[in-house]
Amino acid sequence: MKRADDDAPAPFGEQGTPLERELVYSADADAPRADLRAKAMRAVLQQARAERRQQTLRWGAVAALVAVAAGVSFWLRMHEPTPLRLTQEPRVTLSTSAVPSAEREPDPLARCTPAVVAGGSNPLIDDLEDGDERLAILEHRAGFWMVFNDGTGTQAPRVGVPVSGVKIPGGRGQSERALHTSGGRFKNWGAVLAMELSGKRCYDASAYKGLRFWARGRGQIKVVVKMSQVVTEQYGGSCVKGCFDGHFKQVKLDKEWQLVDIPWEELRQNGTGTQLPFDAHSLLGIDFTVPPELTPFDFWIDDLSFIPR
Amino acid sequence: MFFRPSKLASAEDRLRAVMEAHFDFVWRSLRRLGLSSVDADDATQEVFLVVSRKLDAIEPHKEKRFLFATALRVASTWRRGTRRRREDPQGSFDEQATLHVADQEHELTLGWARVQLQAILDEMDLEQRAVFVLYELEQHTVPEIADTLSIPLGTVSSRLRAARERFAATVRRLQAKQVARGGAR
Repeated sequence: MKRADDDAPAPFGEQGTPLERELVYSADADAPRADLRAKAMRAVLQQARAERRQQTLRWGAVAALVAVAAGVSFWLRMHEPTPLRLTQEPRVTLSTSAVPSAEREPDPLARCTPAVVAGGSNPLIDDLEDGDERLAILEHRAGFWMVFNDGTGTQAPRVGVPVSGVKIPGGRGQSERALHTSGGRFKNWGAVLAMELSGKRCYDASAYKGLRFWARGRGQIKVVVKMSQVVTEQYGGSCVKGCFDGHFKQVKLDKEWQLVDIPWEELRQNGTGTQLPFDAHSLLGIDFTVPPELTPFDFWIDDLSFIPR
Repeated sequence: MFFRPSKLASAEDRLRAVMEAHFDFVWRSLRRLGLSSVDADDATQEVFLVVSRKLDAIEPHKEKRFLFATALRVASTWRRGTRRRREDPQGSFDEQATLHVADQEHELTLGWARVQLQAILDEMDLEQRAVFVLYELEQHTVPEIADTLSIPLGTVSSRLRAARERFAATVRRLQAKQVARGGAR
């Protein structure tokens, strides 16, 4: 037999001794049994077919899971309220064309259920001394401090930065830290220092009779106690028309610290939305708002609590 | 659509064609690499299952190279004892020779030769053995072997030289024994 590589040695089968040739040729008689050969081939084809189907199913399952995950993610994104939009309440106007039909309207006075209920024995909302952005974890309160504005001016701290108690220059009695925000002129609806009492859930503070805090600053602020009936469903409330007219009290600030008490009965609406009695069973959060006409602003808030009955 | 019958069918057709063409080659290679006939039956299936999983990556007309390389890996695993070896009910050489050879004396001679060849191959390490099998028993060229085993030409040559020397030396000893017995086996 002629090989392509002429430098290679001649194989034993061609030029070996008789015994060498005999041994090499003996290997040719070794072959699988015909019946086992056919059986093995059938088994391989069967298993290969099963493996390919399983692989296809696995990829299909992965694709389906990815699609479901993407769908859920998209749905969550679509239904997650952004804090910035929540502050656009002054823009909302009543539109008769947008009002749903009477038979579909829910009761505007309906309390939200279920609600987290305050027992009435731990009125402190936050003394700000721990330096974090969370409310004091008492009576299931689980909110965070934050700031928003309409984007037409500057505010400190900036929107998106965690808001927490900062050192009070010179202190205030035993208190060392308080919330501080300041800003320039705003032209649209202003700026807000805000918190939610229990995430997007309703908070029943009817065990208390009002809100109390220490404040210092210049000008005036509006303290808005938001209840779910004035906030749309998108932001955790139940309002469908005439929304975002929250109950508030305007507070005149002083350069010296002053204790501010706001009994629930002193809260009033602005008159731009559906008029509802204040309901402490269904609270969502508290906003310290500065409308454009009250800007620029610079104020401190400390030792926020409910007023025990 | 998750199932693509046409693709599955074409893959299966190719696998069937590869098996038809090379089943005996794979089985024989596994035997020559040291597996018993029973182990070779199982290991051949294993080799073709590997082929079925990687069929898309195997270039047409290069299946034989892939098959031998896979058979070598499978045989290596088998020889390391990671597989439970079963008793070969057919002995170290099976009854196939009996089926093909009518003459009793020829059968005995062929059987003796295969036992001797197997014993010589068993003395080689797997690397030398693979080169010897491809060159001497499968009539591959040195460049083909280098391509199949993915090793340099010089390495093929040196392994082949060592394997051939071992083979020739053993055959010389066998001849000497035959002479000592007066030519009778």
